[in-house]
Amino acid sequence: MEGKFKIDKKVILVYSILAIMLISIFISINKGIKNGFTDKEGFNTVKAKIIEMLYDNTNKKPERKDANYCRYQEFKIRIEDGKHKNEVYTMRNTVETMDVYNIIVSKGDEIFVCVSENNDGKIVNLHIFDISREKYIYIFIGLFFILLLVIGGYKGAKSIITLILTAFMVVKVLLPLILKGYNPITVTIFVCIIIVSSTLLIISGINRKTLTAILGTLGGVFTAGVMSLIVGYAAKISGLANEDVQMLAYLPNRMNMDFKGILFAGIIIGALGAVMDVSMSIASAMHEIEEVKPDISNKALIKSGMNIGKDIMGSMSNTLILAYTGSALELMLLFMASSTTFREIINLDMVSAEIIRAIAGSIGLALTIPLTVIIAANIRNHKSSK
Amino acid sequence: MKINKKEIFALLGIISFIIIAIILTNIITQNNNIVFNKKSSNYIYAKGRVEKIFYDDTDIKDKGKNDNYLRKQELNIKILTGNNKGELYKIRNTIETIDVYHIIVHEGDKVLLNMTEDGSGKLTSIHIYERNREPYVYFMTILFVVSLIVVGGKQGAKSVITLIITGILIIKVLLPLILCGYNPIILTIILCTVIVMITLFIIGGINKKTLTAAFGTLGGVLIAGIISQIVGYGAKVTGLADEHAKTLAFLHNSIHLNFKGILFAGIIIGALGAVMDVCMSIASSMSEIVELKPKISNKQLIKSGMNIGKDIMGTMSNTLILAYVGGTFQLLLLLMAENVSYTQIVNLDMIISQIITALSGSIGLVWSIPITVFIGVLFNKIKSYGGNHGR
Repeated sequence: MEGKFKIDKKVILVYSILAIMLISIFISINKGIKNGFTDKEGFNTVKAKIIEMLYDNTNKKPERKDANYCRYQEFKIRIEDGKHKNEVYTMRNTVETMDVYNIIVSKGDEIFVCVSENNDGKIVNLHIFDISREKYIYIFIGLFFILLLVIGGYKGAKSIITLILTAFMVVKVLLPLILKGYNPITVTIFVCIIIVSSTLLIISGINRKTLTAILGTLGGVFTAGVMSLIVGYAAKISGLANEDVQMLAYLPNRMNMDFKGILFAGIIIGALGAVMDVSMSIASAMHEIEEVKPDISNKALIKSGMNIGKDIMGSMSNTLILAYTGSALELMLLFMASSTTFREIINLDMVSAEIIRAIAGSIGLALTIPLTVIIAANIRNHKSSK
Repeated sequence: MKINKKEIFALLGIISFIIIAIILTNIITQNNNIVFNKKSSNYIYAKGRVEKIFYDDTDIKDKGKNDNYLRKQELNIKILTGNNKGELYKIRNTIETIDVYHIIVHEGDKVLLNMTEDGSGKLTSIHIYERNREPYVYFMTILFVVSLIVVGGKQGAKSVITLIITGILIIKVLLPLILCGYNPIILTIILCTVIVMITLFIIGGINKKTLTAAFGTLGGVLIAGIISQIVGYGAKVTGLADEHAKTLAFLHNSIHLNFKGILFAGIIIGALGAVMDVCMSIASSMSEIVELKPKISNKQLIKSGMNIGKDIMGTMSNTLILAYVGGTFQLLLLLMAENVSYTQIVNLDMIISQIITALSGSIGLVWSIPITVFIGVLFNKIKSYGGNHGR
């Protein structure tokens, strides 16, 4: 039995090395994609700091209702990066108060400006792109990582590594491959297998518990995916109701992308974290029970596993639903304010797609529980028969 | 038996509380019907079924040089609901192929119709508004409820009840009050307290364990909210980057709404489920440990609680992040396809809001671990003190 176990370890090690190799292959693919993109010529964005305000009437309320709704600010900026670094320009920022989203700046603010150059490389036009916000995001991410380390210690460090790995797989592998025209469903399944195996291997090491959790997670996530595909097909969800997807479809050469597949990919990725959590909890608890009572019968083990699963389910079933409700809050407010009837709302492609997303994920979550329990019992049989 | 009575009372209390909350909300919103301009249009909606298609040129891909990108379907439609039930009409469905989202129907398809009528109740126009998708949404919901009950038994049934209560409170109380102009931050905090209490009491019964989890959840959620407010203020997030928020702001009398507060409300509600889950797990394990070893020292109990918390954190820290990545998947694809540079993406209000949502939820999640452990120990102390006193 000892020997068997060692071989198991080796197999999994080889598997993780394979995963790393695959990742490096995809990095090289990525490079090819980057070159394929069109570059915007004569138009780029640089960081700048506002050093002096020259004119500003944005704090004045319009005197009459029919007054001119355009107000403006004039100020001096100093460009802080790019080849025009340290050059000072005077520019104007027009604020249309009719618009709800507008940028009003004050002295000392850091902003991004779009600059266009003429053939001599001189700046001919300046335009505000947005306020510089990246600083806060880096502070925020740093804060999160420190917190994970302080509260979780060694385990927190492991979580950070898995988070970075997951982000890398999504941003550098999944998204570019989908954009390149590969089938989103196949690519997502492939990426999910890598994310799940590497995350769980890193968090709980190479052992039977991890294997159970990996298989349980993949089972649960794919149940969610298959469910969403079937219902989505029956309800004729186009995958095109989302504003961002519509814009994507308007881009040249993107019309024939598999938008239903992209919706499916979003559902799978969204459910992944929650399902992984449930599956790992059950696998871990069942392993613990086995340790404490190695001669427990399969039936009793399954029963214990299901009991634990039921306890977890109580508070877990609303995790995904609340997460999606939180991000759809503005949409819900909008519908309520425009007094749209319930029937109009629920039949909309956009809304049906959102509901299917939340519920398919949650169903996958619920079914992960029996799946993980059965897999744990089966793997144990396999081992004890050897 | 006594405990059962207590629980029944609690349940009755919860139900009456919810009913009172809804009635109060209705009274408030009726006095404040500036926002709710009840049914400004004369459109009526009904379900219909496509009976027969006479003419259809939607399968022609390209009409050549003079293609106007317009295709049409002429069809007979039978109205299935409403005043005009059973009547048959001939309508035309025009499709602009230049639009990416369009509805092409087949015989037998059920659709939602958008109709107008004249003074005598005769229909003057009929349009196809959307496909009839609600049966599938209901099917999916029922499948979910069945899964919960089959897998979870009594616990599953309890989850269903808590989900329904949460849904009712958000849709019937929180959203209408926000639209009336009340402070979304205060409203959300109050509502979350109610949701957390009710959910945890129903799932875990009324005891020390649930109380610990409830306080831990509120602590974690509040931290998420406060952090998102601070970073949001620093990064000058407007709350208006979201398309839906923008459209809402354009609606009559909605411009005065507190959009930053609404973003905050979304963050709190989004984090609520995950935080509740973590706190309940820790509180439950800690009460189990105290049960097994009642004489455990505070220091040891804290250590055990933190160990459990660390184990949970490993898989839990990515739950919210992945959920939000899944939700913004299409946006990420769009930005990547447009070849928007990394600096541009990371400074966009829209993206920043999403990152803040995901990260402040996760930070709240991590903080809820020590908070719950601390409260658990505190309650354990209070109880043992009280117990000694009693004797």
